[in-house]
Amino acid sequence: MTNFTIFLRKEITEIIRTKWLLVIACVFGGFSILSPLTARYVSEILSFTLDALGEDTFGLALPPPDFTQSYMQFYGDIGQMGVIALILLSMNVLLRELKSGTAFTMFMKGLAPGAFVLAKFTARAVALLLILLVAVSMVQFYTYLLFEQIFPFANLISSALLVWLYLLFILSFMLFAGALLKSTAIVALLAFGLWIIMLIIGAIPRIGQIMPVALSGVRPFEVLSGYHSEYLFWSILVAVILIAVLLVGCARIVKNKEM
Amino acid sequence: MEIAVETHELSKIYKTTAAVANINLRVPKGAVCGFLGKNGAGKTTTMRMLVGLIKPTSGGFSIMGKNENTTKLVGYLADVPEFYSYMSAVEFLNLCGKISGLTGPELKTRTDELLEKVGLKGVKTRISGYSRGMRQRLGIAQAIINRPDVVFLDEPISALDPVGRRDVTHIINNLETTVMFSTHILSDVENICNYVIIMDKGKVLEQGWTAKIKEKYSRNAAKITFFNPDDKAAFLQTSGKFNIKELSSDPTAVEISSTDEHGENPENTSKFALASLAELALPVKNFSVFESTLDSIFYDLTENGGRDND
Ligand SMILES: Nc1ncnc2c1ncn2[C@@H]1O[C@H](COP(=O)(O)OP(=O)(O)OP(=O)(O)O)[C@@H](O)[C@H]1O
Ligand SMILES: [Mg+2]
Repeated sequence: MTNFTIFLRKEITEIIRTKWLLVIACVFGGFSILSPLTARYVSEILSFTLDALGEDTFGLALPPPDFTQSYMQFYGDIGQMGVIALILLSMNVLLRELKSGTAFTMFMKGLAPGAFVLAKFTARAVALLLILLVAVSMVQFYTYLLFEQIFPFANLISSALLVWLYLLFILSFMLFAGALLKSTAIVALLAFGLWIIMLIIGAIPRIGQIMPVALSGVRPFEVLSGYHSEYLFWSILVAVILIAVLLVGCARIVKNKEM
Repeated sequence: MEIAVETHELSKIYKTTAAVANINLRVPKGAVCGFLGKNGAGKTTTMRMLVGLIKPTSGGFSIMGKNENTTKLVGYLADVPEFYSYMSAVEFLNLCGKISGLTGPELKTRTDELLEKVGLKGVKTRISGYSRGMRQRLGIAQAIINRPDVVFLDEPISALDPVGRRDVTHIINNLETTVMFSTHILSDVENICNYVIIMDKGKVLEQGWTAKIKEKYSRNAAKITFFNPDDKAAFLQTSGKFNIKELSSDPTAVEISSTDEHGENPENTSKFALASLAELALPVKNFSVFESTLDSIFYDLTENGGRDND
């Protein structure tokens, strides 16, 4: 366990110095400002554009902007662009070390493969949590500024935690794929493949409701609006189990890996 | 004699190629062992098995008499060493040291001592900006930080310029552990190794103390090069006291060795050859006593030896 702490510190240095943290923070921070703005002004911009084009907007009744859209927009953006950024930034995290031999150097000095994988996961998980908390606070702030109406802060935090769990699932999958496969490109391809499959499974009635992908969409909104879904517990449980399985699997593969 | 590294019919087979084929090698404790072989001989593969990076297809090995959990007993410098390029040398060595279990003042002393040893003390820049020589030296420091019993260095000097080579050779010479390093630069081996292993096509062709091997392959012979073939012919007419070997490559040169009655050794060959040359008053362009070098041994062995089933 002492080695875990030592290596965790190394991972924190790594995500800071390799700009991993910065890029993720920019993506999430960017959307935390952009999403409320989009939600507030998109209908005005749209009708303005249509007017300018000389189109008849008379029959087109655009709904008035609503503060809930601000949150929807943000979680929607994170579920897409945020996930893409996370995939692109994480596809090399494990593979680079395994391929170059730096991981083996550490193992030779006595680092356990489990601690290695866990430290990589933990550093990024904590970073994601902090960034997400800051980002939703900013969403809250801008939503209040633009709509003067917000959801309770407690609901917001709980819903952000669900989104966080979804991101952790993506992260653990990236680590697992990095241990399993030999090239970054294939890792990325597999991740995007998984993502599409998840979106498809997400559309299946009952099963879709408890898959991790639900944590990026329906579940956060329910929690946000204070609705308690019967699926909430199960979707959390499934995600936690999947993350654990992926991480343990990852450590196992790393341990027996020959590069 | 205590043995540091020993293998028993160690093999590694990749699909169709036997990278390493049933080798039995032994490196005595304290030896500085040069591991020689041409490209593709199997040096890297052997070392990677010995440090635990890859698993043998068959056979086994022991390090300091142990068959299991040997990874902690060894240090390793890969052929293309990689580090966390966003760190400085101190940071990287500190990380390696901490993971090996060093703490506090002990860690600091060890890191300082190693940086000094490999000439990276006071270098503040990140590893990403290091030259190959600096990387090699940092790699050696990393390999020995936990004071392993055996250090494996894969081509630590091959890619370096003469200055870098001299520096790294000096470091290897002062490692104070059993060292096994692979190379194909024979002059370096000649300078710093007291033990050699010669490998070719997955097999070990020769191994032993450098001095013993040189003795084994030494030949009692001298080579005389004349200015012209006539002088050579004149010499050959009176040369009953020598065994003669004419060299097809050079009509003005001849290889001689003294016969039984004078005692077969290079000193006698030299003495009697020079005496008869003086007697005949023949001018000589070059006279040299054949000395077996690792170079010549290596070429002789790898030209003829190796695997016969491919
Ligand atoms: N991962 C691998 N897959 C397939 N063949 C391999 C692999 N690694 C090595 N080989 C083959 O095994 C043989 C020995 O390779 P090895 O790298 O051990 O040689 P070497 O003595 O280190 O050569 P060099 O001086 O070029 O570094 C070569 O024929 C090589 O092609
Ligand atoms: Mg090699």
